[in-house]
Amino acid sequence: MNREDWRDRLIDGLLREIVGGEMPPELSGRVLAEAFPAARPRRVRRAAWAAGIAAAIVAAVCIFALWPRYPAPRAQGNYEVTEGGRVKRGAVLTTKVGEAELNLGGYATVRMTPQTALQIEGDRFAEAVYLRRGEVLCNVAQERGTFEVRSDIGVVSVSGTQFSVSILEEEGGTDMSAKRMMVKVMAGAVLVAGTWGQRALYAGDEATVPDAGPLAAVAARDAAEEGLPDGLKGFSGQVRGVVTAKGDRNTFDFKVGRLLRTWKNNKAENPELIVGRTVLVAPRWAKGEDGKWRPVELHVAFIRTLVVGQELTLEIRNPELDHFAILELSEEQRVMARRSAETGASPERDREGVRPKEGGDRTRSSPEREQNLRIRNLEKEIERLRRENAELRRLLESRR
Amino acid sequence: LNRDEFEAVVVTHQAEVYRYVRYLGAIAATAEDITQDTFLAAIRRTEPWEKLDERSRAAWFRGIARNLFLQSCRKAQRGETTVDPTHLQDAEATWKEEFLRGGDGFDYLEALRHCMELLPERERQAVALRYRERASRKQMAALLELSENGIKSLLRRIRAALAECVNKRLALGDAR
Repeated sequence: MNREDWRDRLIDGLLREIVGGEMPPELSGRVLAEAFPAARPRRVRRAAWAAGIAAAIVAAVCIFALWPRYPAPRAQGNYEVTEGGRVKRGAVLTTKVGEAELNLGGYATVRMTPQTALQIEGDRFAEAVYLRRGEVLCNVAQERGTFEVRSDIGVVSVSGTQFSVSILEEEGGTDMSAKRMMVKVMAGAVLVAGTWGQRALYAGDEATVPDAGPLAAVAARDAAEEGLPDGLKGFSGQVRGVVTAKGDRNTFDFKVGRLLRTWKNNKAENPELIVGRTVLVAPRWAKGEDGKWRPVELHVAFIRTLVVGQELTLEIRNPELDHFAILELSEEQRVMARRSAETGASPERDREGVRPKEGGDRTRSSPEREQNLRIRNLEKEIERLRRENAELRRLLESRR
Repeated sequence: LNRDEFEAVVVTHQAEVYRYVRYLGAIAATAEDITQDTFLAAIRRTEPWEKLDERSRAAWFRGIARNLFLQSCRKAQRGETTVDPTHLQDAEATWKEEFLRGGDGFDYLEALRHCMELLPERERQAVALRYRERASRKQMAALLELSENGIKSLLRRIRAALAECVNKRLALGDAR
């Protein structure tokens, strides 16, 4: 190529630009992106990553250090740990002449009286002791975890209460049959269970199992309640009490603590007799569209949600014989029942809101609140009937 | 140079570098890459090129671009360019002496636009077909009733006439 050729190429290129519009492209953005920002963000990103990782490590260390750890078993007082070692799960603690106090999980305090031996068992939030001999006085905070006192005789399960458990031994007797367990409940409720059966005990109750001593008195009292006194027949009213046992056929035992009110259709001459009694409660029966009598499904579903130890307010009546039937459920109880019916939820699967606890339960509602709910329900019913009435009128007019 | 100063340098010289690389024979995409790499190579160099005046900088950038273009030719070996590296001195001389003329080529471009208006109708039609419509020689031959070689000769003659016109016009301007 000579100068002539280069000149020709120069003009050729410029004509492409002037006539053909092939203008030199704008490349400054590309160049700068490559020359400057490409380097800076990489450094920044690297620094940011490093800072992030460092912050995460520091946060993790802080969380680990500051996270409230589950307290290990602690003991104080005059005690010994059998076979030495420290107080820990599995250790056997004994007292001789003095007393000791054991704290488990930060929510269960076990006072060991003299001459007591126990082994620390259980797990996090499910604390337990195995009482070998002697007596323990327990104080368990509410809604923190479960607690059990286990023994050869049975298990005392609680979830927030004060009680004591003593192992009673016959003189000279060392075999199982010679042992009994005395349970005193100062507050709340406990469930005592063993091979001999199970029983719920409440504040003020005292029982020895298995024996015919104080327990026999309880049993006798229950036996006496098997027959309904004449003054209570035809009862219809609202009561508050505790579920003490669940039956096989959609029934439950209900220990009545208070009589809240009686309804107009109450025929019991002495409704106050119901207070302190344990009554058998069943669902109400209703005639179906096919003319057959069946238990009300909502009541059955509601009974399914109940757990032993649960406190609740109930509207019941004595239709016949010695048992009682549910009259109406409160709005909250209906919601629970519907939820149970829809989801198949049972206390075993879903204990939320039905854990026995001192001073009330989650289904509890004051009489005033229940009355308000009843009024609201009636208003809804009236509104529904009005709508149906209007619909029927429209239908009639359209036919005319 | 900081980012803003470097950006100003790129904006000032990018068109000339691109045009130059195209002039050497690179296709458009290669010319873009070489233009970009020219400025990146410049900023990574340790020589104090930022102290040079604009014309010296332009010459320095052309030198980098030329070398990059030659590297590209060696790598590709696809014959995308017809340039003979041994003749690049002529290319640089033509660019510098005829196009730039101590400036940035703006005068040459303006003179070329003016000279195009002076072209006879048939030549103007041929330029439009070739450069605006991007017609092939075969298409042009059919339209202008010439052979393909005749079209090639015609276009070359037009370009030579335009170059002569521009040179005369710029020479006249210089004389004034």
